[in-house]
Amino acid sequence: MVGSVHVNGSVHGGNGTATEERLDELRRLLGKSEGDLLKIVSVGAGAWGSVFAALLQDAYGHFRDKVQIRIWRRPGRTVDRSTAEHLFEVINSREDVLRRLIRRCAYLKYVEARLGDRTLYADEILKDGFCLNMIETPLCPLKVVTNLQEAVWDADIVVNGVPSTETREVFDEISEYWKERISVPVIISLAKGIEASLDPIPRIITPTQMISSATGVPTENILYLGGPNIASEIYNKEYANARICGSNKWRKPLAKFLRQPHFIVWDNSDLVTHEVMGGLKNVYAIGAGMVAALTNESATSKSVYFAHCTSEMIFITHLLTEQPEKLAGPLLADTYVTLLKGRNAWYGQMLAKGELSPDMGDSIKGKGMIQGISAVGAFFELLSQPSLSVQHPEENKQVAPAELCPILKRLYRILIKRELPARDILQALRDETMNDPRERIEMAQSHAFYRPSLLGKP
Amino acid sequence: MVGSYANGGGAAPAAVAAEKLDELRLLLGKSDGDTLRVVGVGAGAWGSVFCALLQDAYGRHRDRVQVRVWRRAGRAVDRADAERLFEVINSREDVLRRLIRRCAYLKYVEARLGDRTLHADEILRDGFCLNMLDTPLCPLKVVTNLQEAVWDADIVINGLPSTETREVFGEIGRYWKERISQPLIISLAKGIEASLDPVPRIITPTQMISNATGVPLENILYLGGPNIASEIYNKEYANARICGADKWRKHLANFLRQPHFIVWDNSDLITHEVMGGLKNVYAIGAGMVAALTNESATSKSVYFSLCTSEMIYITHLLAPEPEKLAGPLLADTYVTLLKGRNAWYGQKLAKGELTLEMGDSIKGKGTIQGVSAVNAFYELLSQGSLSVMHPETKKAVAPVELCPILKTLYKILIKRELTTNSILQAIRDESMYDPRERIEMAQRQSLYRPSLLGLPKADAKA
Repeated sequence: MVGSVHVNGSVHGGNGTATEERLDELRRLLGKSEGDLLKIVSVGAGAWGSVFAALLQDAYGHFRDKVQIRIWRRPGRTVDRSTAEHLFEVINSREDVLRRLIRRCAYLKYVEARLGDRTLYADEILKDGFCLNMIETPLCPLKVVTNLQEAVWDADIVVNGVPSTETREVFDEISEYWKERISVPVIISLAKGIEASLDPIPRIITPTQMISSATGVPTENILYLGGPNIASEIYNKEYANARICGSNKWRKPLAKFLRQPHFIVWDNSDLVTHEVMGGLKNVYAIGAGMVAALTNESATSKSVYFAHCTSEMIFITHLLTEQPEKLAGPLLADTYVTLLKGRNAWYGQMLAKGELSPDMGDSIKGKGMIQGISAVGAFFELLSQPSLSVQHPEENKQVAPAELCPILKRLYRILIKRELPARDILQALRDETMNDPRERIEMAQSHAFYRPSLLGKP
Repeated sequence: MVGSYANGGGAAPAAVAAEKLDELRLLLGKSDGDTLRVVGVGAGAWGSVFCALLQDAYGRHRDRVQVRVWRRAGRAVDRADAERLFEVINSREDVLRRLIRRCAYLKYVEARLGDRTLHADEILRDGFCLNMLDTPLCPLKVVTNLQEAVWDADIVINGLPSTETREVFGEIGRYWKERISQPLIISLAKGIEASLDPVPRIITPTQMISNATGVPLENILYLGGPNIASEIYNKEYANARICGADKWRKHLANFLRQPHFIVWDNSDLITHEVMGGLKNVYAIGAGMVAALTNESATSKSVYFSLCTSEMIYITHLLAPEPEKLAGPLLADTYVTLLKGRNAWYGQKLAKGELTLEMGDSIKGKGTIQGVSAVNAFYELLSQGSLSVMHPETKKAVAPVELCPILKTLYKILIKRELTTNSILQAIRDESMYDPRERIEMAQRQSLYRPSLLGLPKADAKA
């Protein structure tokens, strides 16, 4: 890996030189000649998609003759009165933001909205750096495009920031605009959800697979970026790491391009497994939030939950990949932060406190998409298929894998079938007959569980 | 495992408890009229809670079992603690009523006013542990004479810090010279020592106990698990693991298990005992990171990823087929990093509210075992005789060279040549390995060193 490029007290020139070198290297790899802009587009403006675009803009945006960073989001989303009031407070509490808006003659519309005399729109405020899902954390100003064709038609790099539940639809539309493209773009997907397909055989459909099917872009050019994903913390320069997964051709150059002093990016060749695991941990994050709320943040109960949910995750990884131990490190870090903080854990807490209910759906104002809900449905349905039967450790009979994942089963009944209240998650922990989590892991390691077909492999 | 307790079964818990007690008495050869004697040695938070749980569960069967706690005499309760204790008592109606009923209340009023000095053993009889004043326990039978406490004990619970285990059990060994029956010993201690002579190896508390008393290892077990003592006593759901020989561990797991305290069993005594100590090392660093980054979840996850990969690497040196860290050790690691004495200590150091010169025994908290464990693991893994192949330079290095967090903690806590901020530098070093690479290396190379746990090579798989 490269040595540290940021010496203490480095002058702007030194910093700029290293950054410009990375930009130039990527431009060369993509065949961009002098005067031909590298065009990067982030599709979707949730918290992480917005932060991702903002990080790139902060790092490379001043090289205006070499790179252009845009973000697409749908037009028409209104900012309601209470959010406008909240936004006004945020602006006025941040001197740097206030000064910037005044300087750009962009301040007064927020006063009007605060007073209820004007309706603001999400794309409008995003130009000034305010993401509707992350009002507390102002970003740098961004170039926002609301027309999808205009945004992506000539993009060199597309960052998928839409929820997995919208990925297929959006990229189907994008493929219409790309029919006559000559150059093949590079796509980085941030989406963490998955779908289950049961026909013709049970298997997982990942967002990168959806993108490849929809656009015809070869898998070699599609990568997944996973990692702990508290977007506001990453933008606020909290130290974070991430992992870009995909083909040899692109993953190392992109890891280098994306890396910043406070945002380390490692690379990995196993695209599919990491993408799936990114979705799996959101399943258990919801349960973690429930446990935290129901036990008043008991560390002891959280640890019991953690032991059980990680043993279920390990069990499931053995079905999905031949060498699951390789996931131990990165999966743990992601799981740790996702259980501690994050949208899915927050959602679990709100359900347990009765402040939200499953009928409100999985898209929450101010938070965005709760991907864990659809992932619960997907994983449970997949692992319930009799054709995937495994040997039960005690009862000497074949069972579907879901039978050995009591937390997943219970989450399914709470969130999807809605036949149990959230507090029943504690029953899953307190069942004395539940297997020691070590037994589940030992069982997973002692049998040949691997099912290549689950990830669409021959 | 026994079935789950029926909802609303009023008599069931007591009946189940009596059954479990009788089963254990039978196994230990106790006849009618011969009381089963359980003694907790040491009255830190976990040791006190452990005895209180047993007293709550079995204490009513006075003709069949007796639970005692030994602690040293003479420890004074200072004025500030006396005032706080008075507040706790008066805020808890059940506790206040109990003290009034036992004519034991007025001494706390006197102490609050500064007119009397209370002692730790005195307040422990009323259920107050000096390390855990906010969580009143049930009244306990407290003995301050060690010989009187242990001479006829059937089961001894080691609740001492590992740094005192050798000394205290050395003394106990002298009182047991003429014993006929062999006692059972359950150790809760989590620290370890490193011995470098004649070969580098780890000395665990259970080994210290066996050496000091002559009790065979078959009768000594380790109980590990997340250890937020006050939460366990307050019936937060918790799990633990009792590790040791086949003969006793399942029976003791059954005896110790309660509705809110699940105990599983495991045969691998040494690995779990050592890992119990190892996680305290990294818990101190986790506390530092939490304080220095204002509880950033993102930074915590980076630290967690790196420290678990070091722990996995170290387990591969210590065990031929170490449990993958996911599982029992993971829950312990998770809670120890989240909350607990060692993480608390790391936070205080980083905030400057405590300094290293204050030592590793903190008033109101007890011994911070992670400090001595940093030293032990570092010294052990620094030995040239344990060389491993460096993945990049392709030369032989001591294992500690591949554990940057452990090295940094050693320099902060033991050599004291770095400040706590260095822990952030350690996790932010761009040249640091992807934690996945360390794990792969651990799994690829043959790293296992039986001598580290004092095992001869021939018995590696025993």
